[in-house]
Amino acid sequence: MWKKPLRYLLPYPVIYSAVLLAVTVSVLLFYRNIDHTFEELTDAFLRYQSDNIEEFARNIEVRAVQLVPDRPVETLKHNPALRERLNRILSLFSTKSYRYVYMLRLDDSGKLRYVADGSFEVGERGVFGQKFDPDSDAWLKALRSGEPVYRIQDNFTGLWITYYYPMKIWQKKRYLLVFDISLTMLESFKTLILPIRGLLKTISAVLIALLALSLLWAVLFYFQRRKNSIDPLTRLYNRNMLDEVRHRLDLRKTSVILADMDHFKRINDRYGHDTGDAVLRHAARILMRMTRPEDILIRYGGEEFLIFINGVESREDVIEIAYRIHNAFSMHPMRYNGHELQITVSMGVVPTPGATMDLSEAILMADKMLYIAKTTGRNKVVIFGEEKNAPRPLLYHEIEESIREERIFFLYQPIYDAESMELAKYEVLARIRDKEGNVHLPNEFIPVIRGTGAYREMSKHLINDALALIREKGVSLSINFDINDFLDETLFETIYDSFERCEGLTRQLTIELLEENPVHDMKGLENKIRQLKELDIEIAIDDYGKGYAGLEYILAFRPHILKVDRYLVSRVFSHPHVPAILESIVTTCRRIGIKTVAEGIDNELQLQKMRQLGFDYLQGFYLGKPSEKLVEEERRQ
Amino acid sequence: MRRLLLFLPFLLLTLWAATADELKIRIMESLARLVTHKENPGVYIDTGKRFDTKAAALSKMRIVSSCETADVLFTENVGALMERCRIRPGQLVFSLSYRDYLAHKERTIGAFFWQKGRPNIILNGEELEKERIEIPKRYEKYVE
Repeated sequence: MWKKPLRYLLPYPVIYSAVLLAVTVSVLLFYRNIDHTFEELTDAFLRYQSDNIEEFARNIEVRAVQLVPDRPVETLKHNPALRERLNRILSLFSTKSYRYVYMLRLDDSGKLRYVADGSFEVGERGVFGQKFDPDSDAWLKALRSGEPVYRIQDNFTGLWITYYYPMKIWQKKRYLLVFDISLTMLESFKTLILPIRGLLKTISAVLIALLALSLLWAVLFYFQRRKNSIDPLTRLYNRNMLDEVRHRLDLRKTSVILADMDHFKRINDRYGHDTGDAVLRHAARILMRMTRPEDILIRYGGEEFLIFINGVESREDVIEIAYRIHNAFSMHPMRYNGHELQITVSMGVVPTPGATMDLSEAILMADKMLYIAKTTGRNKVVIFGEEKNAPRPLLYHEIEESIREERIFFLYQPIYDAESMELAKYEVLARIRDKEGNVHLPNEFIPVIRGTGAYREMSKHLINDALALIREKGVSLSINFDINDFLDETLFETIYDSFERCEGLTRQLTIELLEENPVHDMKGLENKIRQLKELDIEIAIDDYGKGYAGLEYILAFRPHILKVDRYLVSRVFSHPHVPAILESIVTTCRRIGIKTVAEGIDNELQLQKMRQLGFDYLQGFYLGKPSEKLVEEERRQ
Repeated sequence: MRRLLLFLPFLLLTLWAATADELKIRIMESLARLVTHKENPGVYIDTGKRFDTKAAALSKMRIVSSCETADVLFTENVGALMERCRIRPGQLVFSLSYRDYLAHKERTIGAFFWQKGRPNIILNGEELEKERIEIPKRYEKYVE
């Protein structure tokens, strides 16, 4: 389930990682450059020392040549006092930093020998003529090139650098002034630059810490973002992801499907929220199975799913995909806690939004198609461009206008006494005629106006017309109300007042209780039903045997009549259990004094069977279709 | 270049030696083997300083505690050593001080001393000749 969502979240971690990698490399380079900088500073310091030493060396040369103008070996060999004076000159430059300053001569055999030595320390002063064992060929380079050469010393010598200066006096390329620079100078130098080095390293450490924090932040951000973008229940993207994918979708190659689960509220109310959640997960699984990795699934609302089908080749392909998804729901009923739930979806499809719509418009259009699917019977797919083939749903203001302009009218379907086959009563069925003259069924306008002023107005209209007809024609009528309508105090008062004003007529009135949604306040409803019964109104439970209508209502409301749904009647010959069920309903009702009505009788066989089973009343197209005229009037005509 | 090659043994020693003491031991070992032509010469070191025993143990020379059993003797004071030990013919003495070497040149085969942080080696040409010790050409630069 994660695979698909992660597809669209992944580019961000990649970008963060790349940025962090770049910053890490920069910091490491910076850290590395600290040492490099230190080396450069050391080189600069050495160059500075080199200049100093060259000046010292030139001064020594001047003093030495004043002391021994020429033939130094011969002169010094026989003159210890002069040697000592030369040593003293050198000792003037011998300090803690310039630890040893001495003069060497290359003899004819290629050996270096001391000429003078400014060293004070016991055992360190070289004797005139003493052989000097060089530790490198730096001296040779200095003599050959005539340029000073320095050598970084090994640690065990206690020295930092030895500086060989080829003397310009006496015999050329023979005499060297050597300066051994002690580690003390290096330490002093380090003391100077260490704080800078420390500061730079501290900055690096802070940068690394910031980097680690950034990394942590990036990881947390990624997980938070994933949490924010993914619906925890279905593991699909949630609505937040819409902004993320908006700029990545090419609507010329993307189709938009909006799917909404039918009667989800009923499932939630009847089976509880856990079942509702399971249904949503089931729906998500089906959607995942029926789409490809490149498609995008978003839980758009409570039970609404938005699907972007990417890489669309043709309109027909998308329509096929949409129907495939739709059929998958029918083919895979959900099993949960021992219940088998048949889940259906209504879908609005915009196959090719193309260049004419932006994403919001495409979603809006899909929503309109979904609305058509929902208001024209549900469990269907409505395709943008083909919606004209589907009945156009009425909008609220159109319904309101129809009621105001009295374009609401009623049909009467006869109900016959099963034994005598005489007309017993009529069921009143509301219809609306729109401005174009199309007639709309209740399921096309009741859900739109339920709970509104227009609904109350329509109810009032229905009751008044029914009562007028009873008064005028003396017929018995049956009118429908949703069971929850009576919990709407305003509506109930309107209904009750109308009935109360015509108390004598209510004896010929039956109220059929439908149930769109389960009842939450049974006690309150019982009370309302009791009040209606007191007006001699008969109460009928409609659509018994399908949906919610169950034994609980029989016990609570003690209805006069039970109308068995066409669902059972139509299966009386096709399902082996139905005759027994119907027989049991009839027997039970008879024992407790409830009359029974068989609805939806479509043929003679069903008619005979229902009579045989003992139903009290019969209703159906076979016996009489809903008509604007009463049977009596038709007969007269 | 040739001169550079002559330094090679000591340069290598310098590179390998971790400490001055270790280097001193190795140089003594080289000198002892050079003048005795023995693989494991017995060496007596007469100095107040304590050497790195680990380095000494790893060397091929045998450090002996008695001057009588030594093939080569290293001392800071040749005169005092001569008074203390009876040097047998064939036993070779190295001075560990240049001034001491100069003072007892006729009785020492050479000198090895540490000056200005560096090792210095002198091989006494006359004594080498007297003792009929032949040394490889590359060591001739140390001969005085």
